[in-house]
Amino acid sequence: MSRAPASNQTSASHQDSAGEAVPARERGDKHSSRRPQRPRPAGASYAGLLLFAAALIAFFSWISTSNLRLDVGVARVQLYPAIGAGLVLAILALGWRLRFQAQVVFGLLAVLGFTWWAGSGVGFTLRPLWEDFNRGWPVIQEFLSPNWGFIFRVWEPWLVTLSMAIMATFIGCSIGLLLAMFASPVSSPNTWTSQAVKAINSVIRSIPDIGYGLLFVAMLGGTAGGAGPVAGVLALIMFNIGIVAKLTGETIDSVDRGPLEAADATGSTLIQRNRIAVLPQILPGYSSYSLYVFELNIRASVVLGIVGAGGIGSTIFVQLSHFNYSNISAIMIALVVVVLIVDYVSLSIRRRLT
Amino acid sequence: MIEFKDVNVVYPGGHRGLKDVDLTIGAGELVVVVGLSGAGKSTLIRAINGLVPYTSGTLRVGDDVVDPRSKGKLRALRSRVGMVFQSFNLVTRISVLSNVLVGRSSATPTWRSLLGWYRPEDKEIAFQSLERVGIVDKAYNRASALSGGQQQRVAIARVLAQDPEVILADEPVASLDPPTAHMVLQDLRRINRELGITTVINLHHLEMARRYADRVIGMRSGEIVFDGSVDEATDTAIEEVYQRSLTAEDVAP
Amino acid sequence: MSDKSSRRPGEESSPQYQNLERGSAGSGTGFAPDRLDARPVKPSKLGYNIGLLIAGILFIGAVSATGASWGRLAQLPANMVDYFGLMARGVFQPLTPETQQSWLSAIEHMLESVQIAWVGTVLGALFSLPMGFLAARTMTPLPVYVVVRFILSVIRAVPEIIFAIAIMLPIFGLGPLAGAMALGVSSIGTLSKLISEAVESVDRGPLESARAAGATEVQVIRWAVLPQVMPEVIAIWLYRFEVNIRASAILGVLGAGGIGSLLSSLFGARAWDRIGITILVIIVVTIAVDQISAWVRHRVIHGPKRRGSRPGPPGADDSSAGHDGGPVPSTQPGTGAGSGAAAGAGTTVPGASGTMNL
Repeated sequence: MSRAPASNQTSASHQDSAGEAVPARERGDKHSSRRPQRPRPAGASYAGLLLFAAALIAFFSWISTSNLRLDVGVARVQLYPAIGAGLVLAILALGWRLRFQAQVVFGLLAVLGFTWWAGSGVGFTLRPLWEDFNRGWPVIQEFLSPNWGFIFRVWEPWLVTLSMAIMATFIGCSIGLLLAMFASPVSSPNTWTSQAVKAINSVIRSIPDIGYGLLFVAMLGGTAGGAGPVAGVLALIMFNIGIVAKLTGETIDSVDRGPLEAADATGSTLIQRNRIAVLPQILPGYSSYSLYVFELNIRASVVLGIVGAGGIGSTIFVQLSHFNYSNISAIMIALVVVVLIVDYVSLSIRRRLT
Repeated sequence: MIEFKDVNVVYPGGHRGLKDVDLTIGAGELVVVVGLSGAGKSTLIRAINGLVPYTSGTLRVGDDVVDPRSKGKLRALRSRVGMVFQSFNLVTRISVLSNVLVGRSSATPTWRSLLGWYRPEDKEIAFQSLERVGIVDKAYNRASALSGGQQQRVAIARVLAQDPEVILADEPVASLDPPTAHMVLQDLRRINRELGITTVINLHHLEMARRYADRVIGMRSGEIVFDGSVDEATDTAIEEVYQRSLTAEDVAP
Repeated sequence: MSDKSSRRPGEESSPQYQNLERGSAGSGTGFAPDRLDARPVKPSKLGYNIGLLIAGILFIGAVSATGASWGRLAQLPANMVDYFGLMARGVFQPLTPETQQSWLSAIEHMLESVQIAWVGTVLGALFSLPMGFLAARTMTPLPVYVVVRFILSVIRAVPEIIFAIAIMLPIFGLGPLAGAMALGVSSIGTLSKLISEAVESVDRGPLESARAAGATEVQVIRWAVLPQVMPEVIAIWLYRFEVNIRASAILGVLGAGGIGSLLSSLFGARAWDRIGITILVIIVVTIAVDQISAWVRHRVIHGPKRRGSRPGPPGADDSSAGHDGGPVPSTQPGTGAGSGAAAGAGTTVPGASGTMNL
């Protein structure tokens, strides 16, 4: 390996931090008579930080007494504001002692505040782990003794799940490639198109797969009417378009521009240029995203089955409503095995592609 | 064949790439453009096929005015003007033949390009182009498996497949070692002679320019400061272009 | 590639030229056609065609194997127009106390989803850093590496909903905490794997020099590895946060709180106006979180100031100068913004790209 860039890249960090960590080394330093002190954060910015910290502490004490939630009405667990205040002060002190930049301290405080807010909203507590463990134990026990015979009785829904995943991967990845071509400024006709398609794509991506599942099941009818898998495939397609278009679009952004210029210079049209000069370059990445999406689809089709989109998920849902945990356990073990197999197969295909 | 009339190129940043260039290049000529880095050689060449849009003046190739604003007209022009690049600009992941067929794209319907079903005539032209540069035996190899000199010859074959009236070559040998560079320039020279294609080449090395050119053009900061035959391009004349004395590196590769 | 050579009709007319490829071999003086001049045989496309065939069979097989009534698709466009009309009417209806309640409830459930995702991400992040180091081949002995890798790949294979159904819902009961816990556990898998890859791709120079100076393993990690990987690790955590927001919706359907619970109850009641409102809220909040997270990621990786790329004239002569090989991309040390452990240290990010599989 080349050492030159290596030392170049990190020497700054080294000299910087080594001075802090090993003061003894400083005595050996002879090349400069005046050692510059690492500057403390500017007083003004630190005053701002103190203000922010005070606001955080006030927020902590308020959140522990006020009813932040409007109507959900789940009992919230008291988070002790004193602990939060202690953490804030600790971060401040640490930042001052280690001479962190004000932005870093600000970032840490912001993370703490956000975590506190989220934790109190979720009602974070670890107490059930020892207090309610006995309540959950029977269920877990049933899971630990799977009903092995059940695994092979449900091969039919498995076939449906696999078929859904395959179809959705084919269709979703094709549409995703098309969208990616329009989304990247490299391959799209103009910047306006690229911006518009990017916006559409981020809307598509923002709705979770389960949302699409519910939507299409409601529009087409669920498993009962035989339309479950149709709805499931449509939901997976939307889910896949979002992922493939984003990842492939980013790959197109970083394509080598030389061949594009050459294609332009021979007088190709935009479509010809994208087919000839862009597609071959992104093909390895694109195929590996498609395989990745196929893996995701198998996992996602479990979820979609729960909302009535057919496949193995529907079976899980039926068993769940009958509290047949040992049957579910068997399906889940099979699921893990299938996912591992698909993972392995797609990994080996990906290796061959690149 | 190629006619510049008061052509100016001003880049968006305000930098002036070409200043009032007047130049006429006759059909079948092999012109070599010399000058230091940043003198505007690339800009001159890229203005001809519209890769760099010129901002004022008139630029004609044959009877047609180059119109950087019309995509359709530019495409029509570019189908008649081939270009060879310093970094070859091949799609390295596909075969040599497919790369050469890129040159046929202006003559191929879009749906054929999309499916990759080229007409047999087009494939024949691609093969003949490869034969002309002597690497037809590599036709089905991946472009990435070829050496630099071979890749540049594939790029020349790609240009030939276009059946161009003009070949532009932007530093075609700058990333090749001297023996290979000579071979590539010999190829360009031979094609110029055999097919009578007007050829404009940017070069760094004076020795090569003198050896292969019909006519030498010297550029400095966007202006043409020398225009003459090879015999006129003496060391003193070129020192005048460079505004400094020649070094060994300028002359010999 | 091909030994046999076939000449094609029309080849006779090809011009005579000196075969330059052979030039140095010096095999002859004149033009003598031999193997190098002959057109190669077209390589077989059998494998490619078989691949296409298999793909086609897979697809057609998949279509028929679902046993679904594809005829239903015909109704879809009409249904979509109807339902989207209802949803749009819900979004654009005037604000009454009742509709206000719909909006508030949607926002509140969405925020709860964000909370679930954040708590899950923080839990995953806390465990993923040590696990990531233990799963990096360059940092741990082989037995530890094998065991940790195996555990991680099992965790990654299990969908988060299985953690929720099998462990978290029985213990923590229905509610957002169970969802957060399930997300936390399943986050550990991907996060640790990505972090271990980042650790493995770290520049080895500082490690060697630190070891050569007699640093302990902890010192090496603290001063030679963490400063290099921390920005990328933070970026990985934020990616996972975005993924977890979407995943929390799934858990909600099972009763683990958040937007999923609301969505499934609304769809159960077929309250299309409120569904429209809720989906709009989902889109807006998710995009907002994605934008903020992308901004923080960019800032953490590239430092607070955006590196102004000097806009040179396109296609100027400078870039094609043979002897000076263009501008060398310099790695400007980031100012360590937001990376607590790497505070103030110069940080470079190996291969932190947007295409990260999570």
